[in-house]
Amino acid sequence: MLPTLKPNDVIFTYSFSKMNKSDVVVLNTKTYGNIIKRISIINDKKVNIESDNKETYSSACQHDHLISSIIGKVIFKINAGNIFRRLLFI
Amino acid sequence: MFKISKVSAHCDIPCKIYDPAAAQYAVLSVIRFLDLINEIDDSSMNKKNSAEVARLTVQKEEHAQIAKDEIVTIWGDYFKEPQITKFPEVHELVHGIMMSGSKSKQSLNRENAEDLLKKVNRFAEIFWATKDIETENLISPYPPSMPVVCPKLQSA
Repeated sequence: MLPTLKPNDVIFTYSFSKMNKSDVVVLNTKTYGNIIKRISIINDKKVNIESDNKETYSSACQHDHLISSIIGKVIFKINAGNIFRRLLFI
Repeated sequence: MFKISKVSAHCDIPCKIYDPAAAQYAVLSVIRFLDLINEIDDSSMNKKNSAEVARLTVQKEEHAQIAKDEIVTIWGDYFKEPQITKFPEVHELVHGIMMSGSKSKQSLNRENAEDLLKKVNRFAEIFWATKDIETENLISPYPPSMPVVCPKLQSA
């Protein structure tokens, strides 16, 4: 999900009753487990997802997912690398 | 309640690196091996020529299998719903490639391998079209000098 998210970032999610297009969400999938992607298309029951990193390819983005598989929407993130650097004064 | 769990931004590896050229190269090799086998005169099957036929046959078998494997990998790993919707013929085409590949292994008939090349070239054409990349028919610069569908690449 670069450049939006980097490895080891800490994210906080909340399960809103309504999701919108372009929301960054965490989904639970049978094949890939918990994954984080952005909603590209949304209708009553299903969503299509996409990655912010256009240099990568994910087969998870090639089919739709049930809205009920969404665990929550990302409400904010913490760059873990920055926190550790501050704690270590480097 | 508050719960911390690990989440990944899934991506397939290798990222987008697929190319039917390996299959096309293998099919050209099959045709070349068939030509070399057929150049050996039936009446002069001494030990040397027998060994040569055996070696070429093994290579023909291996390269026909490489072509089949390369096509199956692209078809299975790369082609997803959007590409299949755009080119619904791909399933029948890949099945045809498997059949022609097997026929090329079983016989010394050049037509089978030529048919295999024709189908693999069509597969290459479809593959590049799914990426909106234009293709052109070029003659391979080495024997058997047969046409291959190539992407029009940008100069570096």
